[in-house]
Amino acid sequence: MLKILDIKELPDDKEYIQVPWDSYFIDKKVTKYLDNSDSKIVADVEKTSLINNETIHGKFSDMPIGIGCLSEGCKTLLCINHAIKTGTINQHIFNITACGGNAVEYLATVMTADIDVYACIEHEDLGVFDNVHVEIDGEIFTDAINASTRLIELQGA
Amino acid sequence: MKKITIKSSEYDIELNLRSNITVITGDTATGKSFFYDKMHRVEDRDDIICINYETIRPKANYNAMVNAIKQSKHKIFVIDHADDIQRRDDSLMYAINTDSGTNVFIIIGRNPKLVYNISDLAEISVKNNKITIEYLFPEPLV
Repeated sequence: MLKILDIKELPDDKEYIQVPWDSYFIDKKVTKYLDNSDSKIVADVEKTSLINNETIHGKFSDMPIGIGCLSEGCKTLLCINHAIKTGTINQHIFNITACGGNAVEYLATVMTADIDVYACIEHEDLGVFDNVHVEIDGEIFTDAINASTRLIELQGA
Repeated sequence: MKKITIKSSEYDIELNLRSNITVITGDTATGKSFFYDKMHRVEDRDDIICINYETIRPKANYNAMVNAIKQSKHKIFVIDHADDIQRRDDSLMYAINTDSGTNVFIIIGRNPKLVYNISDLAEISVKNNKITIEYLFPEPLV
């Protein structure tokens, strides 16, 4: 389940990754280990495909471009996926503000179907999902509209 | 309304801006950073100043950019990663909020701490090698 925490009251027992997409570049620690699950993220969220660990097909042109040109939201999901694959996901809280509604929706529906991911977010666009459980500050929501409303309340508090 | 037209061998950029602050938002992978990159690559326009998370990572660069905003007139500032930049401190967004109105700011971010109208929210459109912006809401009646 995607567990969204109050950014003003993050617990101390987990490492807060404030800009995950920026961490993504450090030592190529994420791109070095890309696998099929990452290819699926790139295909479903970015709507393009990996050529290799350093290159993707350009979305707006036919030219291959560097993997650094992926959107920040997609990079954020790749970081989270890396933590899932390495068994360290419970050690972190990811700031997913860089994720647009489509990326949050993918995270909430596909990536967290069997695992808990702790996150915080500074906007209220959670995409369009239904019958998916998302926990916000301890309260469980099953639809994006009510979840977004709760987020607005939380961010305004 | 301010019109910005940039022609290049690769992409033409045509922006019809309603006001001096435009907030570019939208789903992941809809061309926001692609637009930033194309603006950043424009070489023959010294009135365009591009700022993103990497360019102002050093504190000195950040402070320099805040001062540049305060002192500039008739410039076009394109700011990517606004949500991540504004976590550092409030000075950059404060400089934009208190601008006298002579500069134009194109802010790429989902929740910038800026004074703007919902009619200033827009998305990027890339069609037939032409980049434009499409506002999400109608212009307010005056």
